[in-house]
Amino acid sequence: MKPMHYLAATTALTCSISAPALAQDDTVTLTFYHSHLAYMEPILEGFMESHPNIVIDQQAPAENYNAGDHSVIRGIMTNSAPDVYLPSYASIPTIAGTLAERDRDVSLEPLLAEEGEDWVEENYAESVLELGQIDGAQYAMPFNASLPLVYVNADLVEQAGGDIDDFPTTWDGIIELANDINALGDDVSGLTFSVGGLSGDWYWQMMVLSAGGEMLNEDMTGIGYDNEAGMMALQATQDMAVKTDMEIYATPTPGQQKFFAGKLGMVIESPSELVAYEKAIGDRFDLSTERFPLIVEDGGLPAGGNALMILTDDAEKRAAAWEFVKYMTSGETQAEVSKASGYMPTNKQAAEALADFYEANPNFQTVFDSMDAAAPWFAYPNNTAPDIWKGVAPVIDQLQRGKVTPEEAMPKLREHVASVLANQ
Amino acid sequence: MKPISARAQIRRAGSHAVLMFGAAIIFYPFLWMWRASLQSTGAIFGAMENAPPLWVSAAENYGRALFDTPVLHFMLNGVLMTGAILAAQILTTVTCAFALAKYDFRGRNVLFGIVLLTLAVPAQATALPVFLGLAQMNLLDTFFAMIAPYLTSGFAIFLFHQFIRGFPDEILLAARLDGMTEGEIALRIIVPSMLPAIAAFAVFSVTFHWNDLYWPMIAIRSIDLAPPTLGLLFFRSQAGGDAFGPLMACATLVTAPLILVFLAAQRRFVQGVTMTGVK
Repeated sequence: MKPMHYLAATTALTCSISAPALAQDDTVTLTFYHSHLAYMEPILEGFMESHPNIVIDQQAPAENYNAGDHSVIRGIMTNSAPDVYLPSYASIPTIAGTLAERDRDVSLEPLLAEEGEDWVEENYAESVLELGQIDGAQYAMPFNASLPLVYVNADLVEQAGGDIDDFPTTWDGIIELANDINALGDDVSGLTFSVGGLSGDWYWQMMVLSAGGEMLNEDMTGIGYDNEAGMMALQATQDMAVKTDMEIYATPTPGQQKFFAGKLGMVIESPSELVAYEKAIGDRFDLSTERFPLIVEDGGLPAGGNALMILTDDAEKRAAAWEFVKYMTSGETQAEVSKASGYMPTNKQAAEALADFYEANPNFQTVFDSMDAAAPWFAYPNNTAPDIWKGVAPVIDQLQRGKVTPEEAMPKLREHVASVLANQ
Repeated sequence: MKPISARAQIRRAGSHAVLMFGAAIIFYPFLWMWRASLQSTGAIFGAMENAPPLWVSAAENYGRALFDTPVLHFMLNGVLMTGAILAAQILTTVTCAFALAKYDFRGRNVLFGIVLLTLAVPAQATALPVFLGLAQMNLLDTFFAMIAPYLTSGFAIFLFHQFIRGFPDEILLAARLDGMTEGEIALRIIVPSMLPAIAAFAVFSVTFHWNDLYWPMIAIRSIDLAPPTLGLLFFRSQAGGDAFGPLMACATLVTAPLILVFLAAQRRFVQGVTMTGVK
């Protein structure tokens, strides 16, 4: 072969190799990190089918929410953070704060502004958007939402002479029902709700907010429930345990498994577990979900759930990630998520699509009936939540075991929380 | 055989009863896992009226564990990772233990003391500096990052040191007189004689790294590099609703290789632990 031909051939070869490589350059790959949610797979597949130029690269799932947050914070420190992250609402300020310390702002406001107010209003309720805001600016788009529910073994309630259609709406009523179920014997207990037995303070927020209290005071220097509301929350927390001879556990797992075994009347759980509970129970007993009792009529309930944050700075990636976020929070996807888990959808249009489904599945409807009490999940400043809870949880545990009175517990909580906030 | 007295028989029966009780406590969770892996999730916590037949629920659980998650891929990662770690550990620790046990040089005791000291430092304490170092070198999220902190092992050096110290010096001297180099001595005399100790250590090392989720979750992000135990997370829920059937099927698959390896190396393992003075 003459040199000229050789050159031409090489060029042709190079071109034919680089052509597909060029085509690949058009596609954007987004790394997506989330604490693994069982129903995510088909949704991501659907997205990639309808958006062939965007590839979602799922990262190895996190062990739990906390481990996920830590991994992302490490990632931010070493420039290896995922492009899109799905934290729980309580973690949004921490993640955004870590970025802000490095002079990075990942607010979604410019992207929302581009879509226009009408579009926002068509899709999202203001109260839902607030869950992903910091100081009024949107940092995350709510992906799913939950409020605490009482999961009830309806068979045990009937056996104990109760009426599942006339379920108690106060703690006193629940305590009475729990004692009736306790009386059935045969290892059956009425209620398990170890308020201090969770890795975070979600349960404790339920008690404080539902009594009309605030988690911290306005200057964020100490507890906000050092008042009558706080005393009511402490009293109710103690009564439900002491008056029903409740077993206090260090994790929610024993209670959940006792419930699955049909040996427990009532357990507190997120609606997100509804589908999983139905599967674990099968046809062994009737499961019913009921409203979480409010201590005062205008009390609130902490809204849990996850929201999508875009962590990348790259303009091209942000645009692609925004397409992804829009798809994930669209009415269609949200309806799918609700059916697969029990979560409340965050898109207005999903509610309409789900009307028939809720009609046929009243257990999924309960969380909507509780919406009037929804309050934002309180997010502690500067990632102090773990340290605050480390000191609060044992006091709550002692309270439920009847080792301390509400009057003795209050100063302990006051001092611990104030000292954590002062030393942050 | 000498006839055994009645008293000795009773004592033997008594000690067996205690051991079997202990074994039953250890064994029961495995039994529960195997049973649950065959049942539909609804039937695990109590008998269902319309439970699907066993083969249907077993097929569903194992089907989901095998095909809904990349668990087979994770297990391959596990084989590569534990294999690479073990090979590196044996290479570095046998030579090191040989030198510490059989050579007389200045600073030997200090060096050995430092090795023992590393046993007192928990892995969590060194995780952050190692993580930052890997980040500086742009090596995070690579196969190397997963094995980097475990290329050698203070525990293995100690274990092998105890073994080699008891090895007769006369044989080594004879070998030297016959013209063997030190490398040959290590490879052809020391290593073959300490296979039981190596087998014992291998079981410890492989079990630990196969099950370890702590370091991999720090060092890697790509799902392609994930270790076997990560497969279990696919069926765990953030709250209470774990998918128990597929979860237990997945756990059965992930633990099976370890159980098989242990059964295969059992005799050597017991020999190794009893011979090295680490009891």
